[in-house]
Amino acid sequence: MKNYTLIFSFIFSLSFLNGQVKEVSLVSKMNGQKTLIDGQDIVFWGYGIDDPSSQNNKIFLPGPVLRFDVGDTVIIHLRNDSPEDHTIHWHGLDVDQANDGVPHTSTSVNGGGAEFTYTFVCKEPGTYIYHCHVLTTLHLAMGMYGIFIIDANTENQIYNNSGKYTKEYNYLFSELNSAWNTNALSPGPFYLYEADYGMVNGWAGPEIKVKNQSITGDIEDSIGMRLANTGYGRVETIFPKDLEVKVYGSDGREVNSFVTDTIQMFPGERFGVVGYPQSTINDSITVNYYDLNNDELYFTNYIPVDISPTSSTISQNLETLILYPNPFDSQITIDNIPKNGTATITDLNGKEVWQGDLKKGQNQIQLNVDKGIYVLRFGGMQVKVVKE
Amino acid sequence: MTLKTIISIFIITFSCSTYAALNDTLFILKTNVTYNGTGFQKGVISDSLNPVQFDNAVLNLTEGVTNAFTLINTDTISYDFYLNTNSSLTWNIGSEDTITVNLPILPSGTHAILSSTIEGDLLGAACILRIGLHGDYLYSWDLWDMNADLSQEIALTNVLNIPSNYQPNVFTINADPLAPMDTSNAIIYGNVGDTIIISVLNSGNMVHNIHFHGYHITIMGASVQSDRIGWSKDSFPIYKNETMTLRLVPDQPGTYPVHNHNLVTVIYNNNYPSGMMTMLKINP
Repeated sequence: MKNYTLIFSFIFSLSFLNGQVKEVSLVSKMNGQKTLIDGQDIVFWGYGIDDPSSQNNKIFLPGPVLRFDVGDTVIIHLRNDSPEDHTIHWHGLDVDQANDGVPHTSTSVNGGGAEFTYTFVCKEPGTYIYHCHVLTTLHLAMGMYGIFIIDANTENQIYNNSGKYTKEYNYLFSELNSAWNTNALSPGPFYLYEADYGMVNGWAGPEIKVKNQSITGDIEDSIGMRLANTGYGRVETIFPKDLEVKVYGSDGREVNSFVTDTIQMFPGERFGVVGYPQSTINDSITVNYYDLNNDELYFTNYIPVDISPTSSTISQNLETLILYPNPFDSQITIDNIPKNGTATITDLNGKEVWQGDLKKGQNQIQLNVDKGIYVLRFGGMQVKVVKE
Repeated sequence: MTLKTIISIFIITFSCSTYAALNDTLFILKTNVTYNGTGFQKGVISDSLNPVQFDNAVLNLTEGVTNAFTLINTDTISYDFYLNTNSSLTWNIGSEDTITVNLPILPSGTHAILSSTIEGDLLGAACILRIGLHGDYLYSWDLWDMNADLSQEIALTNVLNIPSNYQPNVFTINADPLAPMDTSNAIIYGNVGDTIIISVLNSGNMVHNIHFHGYHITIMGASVQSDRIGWSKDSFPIYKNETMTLRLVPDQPGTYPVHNHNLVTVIYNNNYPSGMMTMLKINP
């Protein structure tokens, strides 16, 4: 499994059921190394799994995905194996003051191997962030962050009451001021911070596809996406036109759902959305990064989206109906109908949009319907058709 | 005319008066403010002619009635103002002049009088209007950003807009770049279970972003992001010239930061934490 999407395996888990005590150990370091897509080598600070046997105590950009179930009590040990103090702030999780990870109200974890244990309950399903809160302007910019997911009490659903999906993708958007990451100990006046590099789960440009961050599926899939922005600027996600995206919640709380083609994410915000393919898709989600000082676009990434027409859930009899073109515009041709009979076409909600008689042999159907996915049924067989 | 008739006319005239009595007098000021050795120009609509802190005034006004206040311009330039929730409502005041600002019946929530005059706009001269807001505690935050050197040029009218290479180094809550400190009036005090209403204005020159530690708030009103009213959030933007009304009902005690999550803004004179960070202090 890739480091950047590491689904954390619990060191200790009493049970797989919700509401259990789960324990994890992290390490913070300041010696991460990364090469940007322009070939520039940078240093980053960050978190890793404190488990020499499996992860060699490496740190990652972003840190490991931390994932629990709603109701879990989590115990997270942090060992600070670095020269400076660090903490972990659980952004959006509404933990108590002692576990809030803020040096001047909670506690710092001293460098040189000091340890601290955070304990809190995962109250609400959704998407969260964790990050260092020591001199946050610098430490977060240097890479000390990761995504934190609380799963709902219903499987494959972002929230307790909404956001059901068949496939899921989690995207943490972040940024770098590459000059800081090459001169971290003396980055200059903080107000001169100017991000020049945008990332998706730590990757940029062609790396996003190479590192398996692409969305793949078929047109019957519902694509759950947890989106989080840990940068200091605005991140704009523009979805492909044939991916109908519905927003179900933000910041770990459900909202009245709505459809959108673009989400503006400001620093620290998170959104839970589901994308419903309306057709085959060979496109990408455009991710634009804007500087808040002047609202100028400074970086763009693309998350490939490949939605195939192949269904994995429709009847096994599909191949017995030869139907084309699919996707279609206004007419469908069906070959090799074995006998006369009545056919119906319904949308995915079961609403009938066409009914008619088919004769043995080849048939043409004129179908004037909205763009979308439909199911043709005839003689115990069914096949999915797509109106473009 | 009998005395009874005269009294009747007086009563009718008084009761039909369009605006309520003038209870407040506010002052337009433009002044150089210095914190920790760094000076910057600030525009203010203050409730004092000689304020100790240069935060904009906050007026608590009754819902369902008209209101008015006296505005005195101490500056040597004239100012134009408008209501952020109804830009057709405008006022002009000449240099060193006095006017009565008449406010019609406004919907409950948080509004702001903002300046369309360049100096007033860029230097953040504004007035927060809280209409019919009720809670155990009412607080206000006015967020403003500026580059210290640029502010001097704006005050001298050498610069007439925010440049494309804008790099602000002054970030304030209620005109205080040291908002996390106990001396700041931005700090919120309350108790578990209280209903705390927070009016927020962005009188600055860029979008800002509020993050609450410890709690989610409910967005009760927003002059720009009306589609987010009713959302429960811990992180959210507030656009330039936007007003928002937030409701916080703390469910746990403690001291928690609230800050801008564009973390460049929590710095002042390269010191952290400063700028757009303040605290929630919630008793059991």
